[in-house]
Amino acid sequence: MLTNKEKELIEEIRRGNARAFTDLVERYKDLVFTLSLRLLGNREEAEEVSQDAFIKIYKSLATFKGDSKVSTWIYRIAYNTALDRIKKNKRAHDHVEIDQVRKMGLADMDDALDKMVQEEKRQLIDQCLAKLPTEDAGIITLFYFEEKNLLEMEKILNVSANTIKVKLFRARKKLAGIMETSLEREILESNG
Amino acid sequence: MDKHEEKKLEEFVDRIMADAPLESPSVDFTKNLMQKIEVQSHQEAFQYKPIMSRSVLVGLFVAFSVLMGYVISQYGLGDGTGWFDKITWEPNFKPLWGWLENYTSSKVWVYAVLLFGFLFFVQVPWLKKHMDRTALLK
Repeated sequence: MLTNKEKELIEEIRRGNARAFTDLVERYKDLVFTLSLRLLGNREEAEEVSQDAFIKIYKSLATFKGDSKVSTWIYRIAYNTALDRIKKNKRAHDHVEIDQVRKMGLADMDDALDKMVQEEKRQLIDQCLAKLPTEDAGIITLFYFEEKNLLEMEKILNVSANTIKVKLFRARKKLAGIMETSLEREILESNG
Repeated sequence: MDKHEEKKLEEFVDRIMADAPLESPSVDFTKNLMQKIEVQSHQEAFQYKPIMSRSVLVGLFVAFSVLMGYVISQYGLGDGTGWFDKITWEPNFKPLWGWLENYTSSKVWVYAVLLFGFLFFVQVPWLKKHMDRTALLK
């Protein structure tokens, strides 16, 4: 499961090489932070949770058996740490009424997005992802982080691939619905 | 939603997610993290760990109380019938320290014992200092 490079890196960290752990953090910090941010919706909290996740990673490296990819193992720890924080705060955002595209259609939305400046587009996507319920945001983010590998996602979420497929479909519909509302608002605003 | 529409939705979300920005934490994220890890591992190294856990101690206390209760219920408390009352409590140190009465020692022996005692008390703080230093270096 592990590549030789990953094995070497983990061995170095186990031997107490702080530099090797810094390399691991540098490699995954953006992914862990993005996942935490999409689940929590708050930068400060996401940074704290990412730090906690890396501390857990450091402490559990001694017991990591290597039966999954390092990235999968890291995402699982980050995902669970973020969920623990949400449970602690009792604050998951899960009320999205829109769950399907109504008027605009996917092709129209594609056109509208193509006409936007890259930065503007990224900002809009970011806002739409932030509006997704916690579970949907987590599933969609992990699906692309894991390069659409449902088997790796099973290991992170501890649910079957079929359940993940159903959840993914619902999350996609919700995201498209949120995107439609946001684009309509954008178009209305730009038309004055 | 039919299969074709589902496929289209999937492709649309694929395109959105390809443009979704990857966020970065603060600049000193790694530095702060490494400091936290260092502080935590230092705290763990000096953390007090009891030899017996709280549950074992409670278990022992309960077992001891039950045993005492049993002994008292079986043999009574000072009514003259228990084995406790048959123990003689007058101290008699004669067989233990009797040999000291006629003991004499040479001056060299006394000096050697005193020197050994003195060096023993000198090396305790020295060893403590040495061990503190090596633990800090680790």
